[in-house]
Amino acid sequence: MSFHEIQITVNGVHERVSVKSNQTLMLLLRETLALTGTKNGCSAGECGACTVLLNGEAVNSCMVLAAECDGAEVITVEGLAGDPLQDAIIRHGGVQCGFCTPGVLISARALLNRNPNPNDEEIKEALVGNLCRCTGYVRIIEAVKEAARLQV
Amino acid sequence: MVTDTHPTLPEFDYFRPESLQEASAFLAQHAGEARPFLGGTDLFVRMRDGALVPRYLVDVKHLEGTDELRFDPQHGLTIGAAVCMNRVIASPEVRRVYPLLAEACRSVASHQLRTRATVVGNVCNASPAGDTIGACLALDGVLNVHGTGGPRQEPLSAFFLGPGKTKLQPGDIVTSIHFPLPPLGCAGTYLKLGRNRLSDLSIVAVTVLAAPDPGLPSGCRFRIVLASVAPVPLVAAQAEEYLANRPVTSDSIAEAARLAGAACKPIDDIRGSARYRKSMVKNLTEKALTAVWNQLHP
Amino acid sequence: MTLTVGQSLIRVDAEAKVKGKAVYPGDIEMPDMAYMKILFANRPHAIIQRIDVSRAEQLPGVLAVFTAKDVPNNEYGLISPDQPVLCGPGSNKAHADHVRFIGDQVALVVAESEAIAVQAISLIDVDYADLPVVSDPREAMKVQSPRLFPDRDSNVFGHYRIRKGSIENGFKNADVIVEGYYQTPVQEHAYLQPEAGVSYLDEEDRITVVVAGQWVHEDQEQIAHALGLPLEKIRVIYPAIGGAFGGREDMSVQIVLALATYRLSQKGIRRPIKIVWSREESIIGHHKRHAYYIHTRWGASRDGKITAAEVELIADGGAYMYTSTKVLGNATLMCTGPYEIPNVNVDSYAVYTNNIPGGAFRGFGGPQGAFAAELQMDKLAEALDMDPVEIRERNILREGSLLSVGTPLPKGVSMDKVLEACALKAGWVRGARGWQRPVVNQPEQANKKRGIGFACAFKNVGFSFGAPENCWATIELRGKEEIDQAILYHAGAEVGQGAHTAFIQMAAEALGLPFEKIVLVASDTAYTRNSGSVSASRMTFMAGNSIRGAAAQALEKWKNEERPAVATYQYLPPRTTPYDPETGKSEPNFSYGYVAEAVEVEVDVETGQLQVINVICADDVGKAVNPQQVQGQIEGAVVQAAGYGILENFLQKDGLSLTKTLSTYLIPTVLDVPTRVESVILEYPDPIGPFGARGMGEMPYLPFVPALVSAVHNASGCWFDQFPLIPERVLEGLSS
Repeated sequence: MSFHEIQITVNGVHERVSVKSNQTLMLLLRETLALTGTKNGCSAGECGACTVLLNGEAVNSCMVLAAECDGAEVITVEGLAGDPLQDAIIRHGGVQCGFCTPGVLISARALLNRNPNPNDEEIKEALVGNLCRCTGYVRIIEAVKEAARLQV
Repeated sequence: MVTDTHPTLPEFDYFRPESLQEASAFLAQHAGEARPFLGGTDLFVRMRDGALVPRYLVDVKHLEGTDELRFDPQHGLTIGAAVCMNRVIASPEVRRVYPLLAEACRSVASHQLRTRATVVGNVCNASPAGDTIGACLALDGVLNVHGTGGPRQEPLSAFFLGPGKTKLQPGDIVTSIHFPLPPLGCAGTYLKLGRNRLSDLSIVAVTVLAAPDPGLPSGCRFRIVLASVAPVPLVAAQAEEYLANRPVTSDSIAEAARLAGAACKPIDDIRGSARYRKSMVKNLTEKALTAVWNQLHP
Repeated sequence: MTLTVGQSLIRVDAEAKVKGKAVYPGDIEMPDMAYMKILFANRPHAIIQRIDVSRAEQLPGVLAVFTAKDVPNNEYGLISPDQPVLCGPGSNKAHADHVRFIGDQVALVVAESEAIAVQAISLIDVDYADLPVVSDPREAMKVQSPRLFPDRDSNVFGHYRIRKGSIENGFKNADVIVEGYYQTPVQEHAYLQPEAGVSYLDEEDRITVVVAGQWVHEDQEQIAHALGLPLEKIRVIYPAIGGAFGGREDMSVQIVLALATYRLSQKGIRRPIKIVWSREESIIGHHKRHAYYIHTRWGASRDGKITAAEVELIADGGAYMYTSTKVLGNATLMCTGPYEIPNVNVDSYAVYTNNIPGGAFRGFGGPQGAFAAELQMDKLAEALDMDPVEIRERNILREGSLLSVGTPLPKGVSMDKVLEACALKAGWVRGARGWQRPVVNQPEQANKKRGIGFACAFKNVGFSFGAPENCWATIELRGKEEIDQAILYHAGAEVGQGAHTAFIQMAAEALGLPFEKIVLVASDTAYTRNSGSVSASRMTFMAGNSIRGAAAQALEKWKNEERPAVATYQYLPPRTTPYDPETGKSEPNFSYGYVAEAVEVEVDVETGQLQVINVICADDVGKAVNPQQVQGQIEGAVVQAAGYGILENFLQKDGLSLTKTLSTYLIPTVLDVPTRVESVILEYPDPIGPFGARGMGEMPYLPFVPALVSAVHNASGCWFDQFPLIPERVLEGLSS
């Protein structure tokens, strides 16, 4: 199996790494770069726990090959430091077990970047790919609404 | 052996050719063991399952013409193979001129999956449940294909041969899908019944596109495409013909819906039984026809 | 008045979780780590005749392959050690060569990388002789059924009886009798974090397993038992845990990780070992909520008093016992609902089959019992032309009422008040003829029908029926003149429910210190003493009482100028007693929580799809230690129950699972939740609860499905005795 030399910017840090053909972006982040905030819940694009921003767009990092990411810019939950979404989800009680939280925050960030003032339905559509088994989603939606208000 | 241990993808070589010629040659040379690779949203799942074990994935997303999303008021819309569904949904021209296509794309999985999933990929996977295929068929989509013999076109109407089977040959790369201008004054809808509100594959789905056509006894031409009810996306030709040949009334719509239900050959699977699917096809077709008819005659 | 308890303080673990800094088992990396994979049987019933691991062992990068013969004491199980750690020949246990479900574990590979371990797994040759598959517990009960355990005389492994009053007289005095056959489905926990863990030898040479579980000391005991080692040689630590809901109560990777570390160390290899399950492995590898088959007959007099209830419950226990007998005990008590019924017969059975084992899942037998009981109440109400709330109130358990097991509930019964609060909030009015259901506004679309339903339930707090119950806490007060810091040592697991924040709030309250001065050392057998499991809605109650005890003693020592002042306290709740084998007479529980729900639903009569419009949940929590977290539990439980009631369809055929992924087994997304969930938090103190608190994690789950079915009936006139109410089932019901 071949290796590929890629350059990738993760949370503003420039990295030069050699990746295997079958290595996903998720595994590059978690195993090579030790950014374990990005979670692995299914490796099949079904749960959303591994969601990151790839060139500004939310993707399931388990469904992207690292080899495709030459020259890409990636933001993970570790790169969201200071984002009002983090504070809002804490204060609204939208965090329970926390395993879905990184992916939820990234999806919500992507939403607010493309639509700073989303309504309830738009928030739900943006988060439909992020499964949460603990909260019932109520408080997560409230948190996204508040973060949107705060950043306007 | 049945195994559930895959932590990640099985081994393969990722190959990024420099040109369409190189890509076609490579794919032809490694027929059976190399696959063109777009978003991977369907491919990776099947690779993890062991259903597909390609030795090479040939990334074609950067090749000539695959990244374009171009609308020309004379000729219509071209969507490159690498254009993800979210880009299609966001395009003002698509929303204005081909809203049916945007609607179908919006029903696919989740936002983050649609950042990767492409319309061309959805078509080439040839799943009977493919959400955008109905719209592509109803809008008379034509694939631009680059093969070992150079470029050619494949109309979608004759493209699907069976589940996962198409007219594509080793060495073929679909570079884009083209849609002519839709008929003047048309209206369409995509009704999808899933086990949940949005992200699931369909139990059944119905695409209807209709446009005024003074040459027909009914004065209106309907296109009806059914998903998840046959080995291939199913054009309900009998129902279309029935509707074309008489005045459109609630009775003729009901009869057309019955014909659509009778035409399909669904199976039982974890998403639903054949029986339920048949009755839902009838149900959704009637609803979709009525909705579209009302859009045309507000 | 309390200062800290009752405040919606920020969770202590939230900041790390939103920053991606919280470490879950799969996130742990240690130097020189090796990786493990498990060969699962992937067949439901067979005898393993031979295992050949030589090709796997020879693969470069493989450190070791382990099979049954490597397990010192090849058995485990929470209630009964009926499950082999590894299935196969050559171990010290008879019949450990039997495979009894697809998730049975056959061999372990430890290798330099996960990829090598995966490859080596495929090189293990196993000869299986397949056996007939037993997949329906009703068939499995019959004498002619193939047996899963050759040394047992039946597949039935649990049976309880309740005999109260005279069932014959009860039916004789009834004006109406309603009979029902109910089936409740399997449910998968689908916590977001699949099983994972790391094991290593710590600085004191203890075999240390870092894993996600619900009870560190039980994990420690199970590991020690299977390895034949003393407890003190085993250490279990919980890092952040990605959800549990009962699904981590039994062993998954705990024993096999410890086994690999133990055996490798004997070969002189002292490397940390890591394992991470895929989603598919998680779904076949851990137990599920039991499917129940319930046949029941209830009678009532014209004035709405229930005169008799006769119930037969059959639980599909799956391949091994897990906690089935305890779950069955609960279902046996809950299947007659929170009602005082003079004449009761219950017979309940737990039965082995080759399905994935049934076990703990939020509600623990309660939801299955409540489904049958509440539907019976609704049908009796219909037969008597009585309002469903009215008939409930006429029979509701009150202070001093006798349970079906012949004894009164512990003091602090608030069921009647909870019922009233929920009914009023949902728009019921009390008129001259008693309670009256509100008229639901119907939508304009002809294909949509709306209805409202009501149900109530009670649920025990703590281990039941004589199971040993206790909880330890240690508090260390540091400082000179003033207390600078209080360290709380507690084993209780934080599985996402907010337990650790509640512990700290209760410690601050008990010590009269600010929240910030409390430091929690949690869930490590090396530093904490037994807390019992995070299950049975017990942890706030049990931990709170242990913390209060330790705090009082530590403050006493502080006053006596001990520095640091350290106190360890064991809380022992009032004793409970087991079912009498003939009559079921018992004192089953020391505390309960009471809950009622009203559900408004919209039925699409063309497709069978349901949309839950509104849920009102009234829950007596005694004292809300952290109201925001209580509300989060209510909302989470309601949505999980909505998944159970409407969407989640775990399919097994001949012992094989057809839904091993999250795209085949669907759980609710953000678009599948009720349009509104209203929490009515009631605070009628439990006389023996800490600060009056009762448990509450499970309660809101119980009434949801029967209230939903009742609402669908109100909308459509159809009863559904089976769920999930997938569109196809609903439509079939509507058209019949």
